Amino acid sequence: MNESVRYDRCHQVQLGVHSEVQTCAATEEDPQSLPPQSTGTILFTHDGVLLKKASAEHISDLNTSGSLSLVEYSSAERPCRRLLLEWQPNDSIMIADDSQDQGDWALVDRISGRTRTTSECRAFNTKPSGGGSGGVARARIMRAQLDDLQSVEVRHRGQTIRFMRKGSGGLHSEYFFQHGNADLFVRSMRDLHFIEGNGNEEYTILTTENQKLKKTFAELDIGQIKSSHLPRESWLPNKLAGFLGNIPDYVQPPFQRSPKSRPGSLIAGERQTSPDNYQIIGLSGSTNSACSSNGQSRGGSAEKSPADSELENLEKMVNNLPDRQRVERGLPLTETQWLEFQTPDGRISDSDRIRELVFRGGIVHSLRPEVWKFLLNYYQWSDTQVQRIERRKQKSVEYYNMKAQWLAMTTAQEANFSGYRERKCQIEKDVKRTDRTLQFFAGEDNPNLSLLQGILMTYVMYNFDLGYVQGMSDLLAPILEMQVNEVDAFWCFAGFMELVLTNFDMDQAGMKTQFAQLRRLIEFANAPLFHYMRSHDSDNMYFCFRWLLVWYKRELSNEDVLRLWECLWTRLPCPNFHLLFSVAILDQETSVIIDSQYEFTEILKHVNELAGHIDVQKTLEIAEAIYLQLKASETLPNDIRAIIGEPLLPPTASGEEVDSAAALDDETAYSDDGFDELVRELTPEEKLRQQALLEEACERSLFLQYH
Amino acid sequence: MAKTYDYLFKLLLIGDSGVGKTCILFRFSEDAFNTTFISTIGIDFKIRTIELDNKKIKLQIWDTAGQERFRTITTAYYRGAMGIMLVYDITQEKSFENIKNWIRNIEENASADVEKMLLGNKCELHDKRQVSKERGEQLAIEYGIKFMETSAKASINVEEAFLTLASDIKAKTEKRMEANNPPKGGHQLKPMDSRTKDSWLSRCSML
Repeated sequence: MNESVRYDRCHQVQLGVHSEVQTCAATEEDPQSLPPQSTGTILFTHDGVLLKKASAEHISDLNTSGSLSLVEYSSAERPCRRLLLEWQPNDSIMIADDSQDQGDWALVDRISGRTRTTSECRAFNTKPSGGGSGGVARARIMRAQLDDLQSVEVRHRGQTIRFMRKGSGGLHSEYFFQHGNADLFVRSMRDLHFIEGNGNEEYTILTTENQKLKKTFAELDIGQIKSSHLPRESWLPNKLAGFLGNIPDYVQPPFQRSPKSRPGSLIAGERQTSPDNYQIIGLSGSTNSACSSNGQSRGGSAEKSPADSELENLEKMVNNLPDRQRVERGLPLTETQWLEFQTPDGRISDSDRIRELVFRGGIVHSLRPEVWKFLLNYYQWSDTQVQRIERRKQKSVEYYNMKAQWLAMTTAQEANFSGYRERKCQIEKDVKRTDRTLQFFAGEDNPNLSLLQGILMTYVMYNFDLGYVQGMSDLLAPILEMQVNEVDAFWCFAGFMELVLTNFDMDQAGMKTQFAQLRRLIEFANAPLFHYMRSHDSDNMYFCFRWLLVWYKRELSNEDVLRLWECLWTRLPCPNFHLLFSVAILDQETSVIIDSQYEFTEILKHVNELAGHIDVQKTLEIAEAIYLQLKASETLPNDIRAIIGEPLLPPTASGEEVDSAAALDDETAYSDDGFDELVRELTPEEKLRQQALLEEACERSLFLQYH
Repeated sequence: MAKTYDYLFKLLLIGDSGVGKTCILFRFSEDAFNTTFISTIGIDFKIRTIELDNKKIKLQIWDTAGQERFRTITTAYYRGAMGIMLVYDITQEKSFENIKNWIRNIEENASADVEKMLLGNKCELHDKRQVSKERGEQLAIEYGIKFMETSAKASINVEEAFLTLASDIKAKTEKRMEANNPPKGGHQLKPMDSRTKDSWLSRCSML
């Protein structure tokens, strides 16, 4: 009771402030620069508010005490009034020492030291920042236009409030109320109908922009509007009327938090934590990319009011995927089955069927070395036994030729060849720390380490531009362990590399593309998680980096790696199935991530700690089930069709655009002749020397293999 | 809820591949060393809470992949860092030479006033030493940052290095808050009037 008394007194003070009219010139750094002649009226203010988190230009004011206000600006030129949230530091400095109990950043949230490139922005789904800050002068007043904010969240027993951005989502700013709590501030905002919520700590910010939401005052359910102490501006009830009028019953259920959301639920409406529901519903209008992209996927909504189409979107979010079917895994391909597929001359009769069997159940261990050669395009399914032997011989010569090239490198050559030296050095560093806990690579002076090194060095000569990138030794090790033979291992590895080449792009473009594709798949297949991640600045998918770079090698036991890879090598049931495997892992973690209210760092930690706890069979089943859901979806947008290799739909009459498909790498047959560019004319002397080295290399390899 | 810490500092370990970043972190967070370490792919972090002047400081220390190829990804994490450990391997001349590139990387991607420290790791490997301690010190002076030789394996100076970095960040943070709270006026901290490279770098070593 004490508190409420204090609030009342406080309120009086604010009412006093309210009438005061200030002229605030917009600062240069104000992202929403105000008209120069605009005047601001403080609607209410609260002192003793620490700035806890904010964008980079306010870094020096973090943990500084100040006043948080809501200010209304109007100007002669613009009839439309603009509401701004403003925080202004004052002289009293306090260090918050107990407000952080969630592992959040206490002092620094993000520092944007540089401007992102457009490609980065595309890849990371962010907007380019206005410019690298770092200037000496910093805006002391922090402003945000209320229309640019999505929601308000109250945390820490009412002491912390945070404002979430609209559109790209994410935190705009966070404040800590040193004296008392944020109740009054939030209540004032609610009474003025700037926000709407059920008092359950999360509120949606109502927009002024969406003119179509305007309805007449008469349509208002006046009983629902509490009378406010503060004078109400005419546009406010209109907006509220629109809000209430258009969204009668749909909004309410999500407010009522249920204790737990169903794990992995695909039904958006079942997500109970509030701001995300709003984003799913998309009350905020056109800036919500998720909703608009989904909205575009069904024609004919152009004529409807935004609220109608948003409701339709909500419906769609709920209904756009058919029920998930249970998928069964099968038994591994056996020797007997394999023999049945061989014709008398050694051809493999039905490679499609074999792929299917391998995808469904893998391969028995003893058969792996043989079948992998086919899956990795080293052997051709249509070759006869004789042709295969011939091919192997030829590939062997090719391999030792390349190997001889680096073996022939003299110390002087190496000293003058930094590109080569760097690659070699990196390989040496990594070979020493690749799978050393496995018997096959354990111990000092293990000859298999030399094999690993030799193959990677030879790959450098095979594809010098790519050279060696960390992660490649992880990809080679299981193959080498299985093939044992150096030449076979090399060509199988080269085949695998063809599938993942873009993972190792110099500019990481391939990884970024996959992040974007994965993000899109999750948006469609797991909307609750997607909206949660987006509103928690975690939708850049960075935490999946290790998964994708080395195809889950670091997450699984060695046996499981073999099982997963052979399944993925079939490239069934669709291109980019390895991304659906990520979707499936996250599907199983959805409730943990959301219920625990993980932020980016915690999601990253959680994901990293999943290593060793992923059930491959189950995850493959879920991944396939999700694929089947997507495939059967009637509203699957073209960009997702492109990712999973479904035929694209023609543009609809309503002008749906065919999204430019992210590059698909699946149908390109890979070639084995990338060696050409490295071949150069040799002098007779060199040829002799090469020949000698080739023989030496062969001998050494044999020695290493059999001893 | 009980207060768990007074400050939270985000630190970052950077340096060439194989200099021992993960081992340093493992030594500091678990007080352990493992010879069968694997290369770091992507990024990870560990937490350890320390106490300085009766203040609990939670250190969140990020470990990154060293290979240049991954910098486009790892630099995204520089932005929130308040302290950076630049690590080289005293048995790898190249890793020492590359420190200047890492410094440039920080300048381009991290906050201008991030606290930095130079570490020459693997100092237990006397026989294989390629970079003298004096050269390390000299470089640190050049950049106006602190320097230590460490050994994650022999547990030399790892603890000290993190405590030093944390204490410098703490001092800077508190200084900034004081500067932000003059007797009257309450105007902002002026980072530096003449912002030459050396001036802001040398500022990092003040205490």
